[in-house]
Amino acid sequence: MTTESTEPSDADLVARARAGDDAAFGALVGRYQTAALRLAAVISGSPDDAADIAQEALVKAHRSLPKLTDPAMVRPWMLRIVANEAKNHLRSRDRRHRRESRYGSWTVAAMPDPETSVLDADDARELALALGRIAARDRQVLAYRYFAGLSETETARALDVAAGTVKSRTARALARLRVEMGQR
Amino acid sequence: MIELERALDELAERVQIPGGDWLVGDVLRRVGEPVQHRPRRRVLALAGALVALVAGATLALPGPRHAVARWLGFDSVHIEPGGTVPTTASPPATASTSPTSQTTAVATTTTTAVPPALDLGPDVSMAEAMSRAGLPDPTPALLGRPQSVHVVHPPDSGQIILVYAPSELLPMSPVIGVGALVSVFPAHIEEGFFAKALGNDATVRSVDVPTADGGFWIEGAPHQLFFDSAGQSQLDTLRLATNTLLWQRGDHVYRIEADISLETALRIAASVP
Repeated sequence: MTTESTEPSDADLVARARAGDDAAFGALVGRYQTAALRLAAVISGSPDDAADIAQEALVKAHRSLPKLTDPAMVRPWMLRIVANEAKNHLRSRDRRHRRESRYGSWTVAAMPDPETSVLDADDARELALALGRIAARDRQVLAYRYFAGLSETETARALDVAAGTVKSRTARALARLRVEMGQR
Repeated sequence: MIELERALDELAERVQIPGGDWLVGDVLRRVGEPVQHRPRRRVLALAGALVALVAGATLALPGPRHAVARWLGFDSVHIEPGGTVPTTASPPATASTSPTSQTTAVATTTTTAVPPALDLGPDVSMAEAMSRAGLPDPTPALLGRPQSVHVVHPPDSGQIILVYAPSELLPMSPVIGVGALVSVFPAHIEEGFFAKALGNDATVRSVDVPTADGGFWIEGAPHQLFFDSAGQSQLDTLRLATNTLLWQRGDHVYRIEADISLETALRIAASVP
């Protein structure tokens, strides 16, 4: 039996998914589910809702596959749909859930290595709260870059802006986040 | 003052997100729901073929519940809950003492004709099955010689399935006349594909199987297998709605389907040479 493992490219999986192979779409979801969940969590402010948000968004992504123009860029395309779903979710729940209570209720895993970790529990809480206080536009670029792990190019694609814009927006968002952290 | 970018990376790593493990399966289950609006020709064609072969069977369309961390691209096993089985498609068989029972087999093994609803094809010798499928003999010493041996597809290269009649060790399965199916196929289990099913009682848990690289115990609901080879995915016929033990050994996955306890399944698995 040949056991050569050649992972299909994103574009291959997109082609298969478009041809009706749901397992191929599942593979795409599997590749980017962590990014999708984290993105949904930070944009909505509610990790508890992230799985529902991501699920809803990815079902929509499946339906929208025919509209994807560049299959090689399926990752930022999918994550943009997740981000939009998270923003919609945020709007629908904002009245009932105050922002501070959402971002202030994050649960974080214990420090993996106290020697190298930069966040203790209090820092993590303050950082989450600060993320909740900055503008949605700033939060979004940080979410793509640091929570979804997108490159500047991919973030540019997700935001539909030039790569240089991503760099400046990221720097600005970090500065504002730093200010928020410093005020606490 | 913490280093902000590192802190963001670390927060992303450490934030707890409940329910995310089942995202792939949840998405695919929903994707598979509106079939009537978006027919998937290949799957429907296969489903049609299976329905034709399995009288009375209702085939669940794809909706695998798995949280895959990566895609191997070949011979992966996915489990999906749901679907129904050809429960009573075969009439009750007349039990008789098997003339071929080995001394290692449990007592009172009975022999029946293989229910056609299982869609297993002709009974072949073990030597022929091993030759055709290029697989090892999966016969558990605890069960002894099976009632019949079959080579079926998928996967393309074939899997060996052994049929065991009900016995003291093997209660009657939902398919009358069958106590257990034991099979081996070339595949790799991806742990992330297993998930507790929402909306039904299926549970999947990792178990230690002696002499195996890893195993899973699936309890409480019927399931199907997906075989993903380089460019295609195929439905495996749903045969028994029983508990199932799957375990990986090298490049092969072994499977026992029977209405037995995990303890019994592990004993059987440990007796596979």
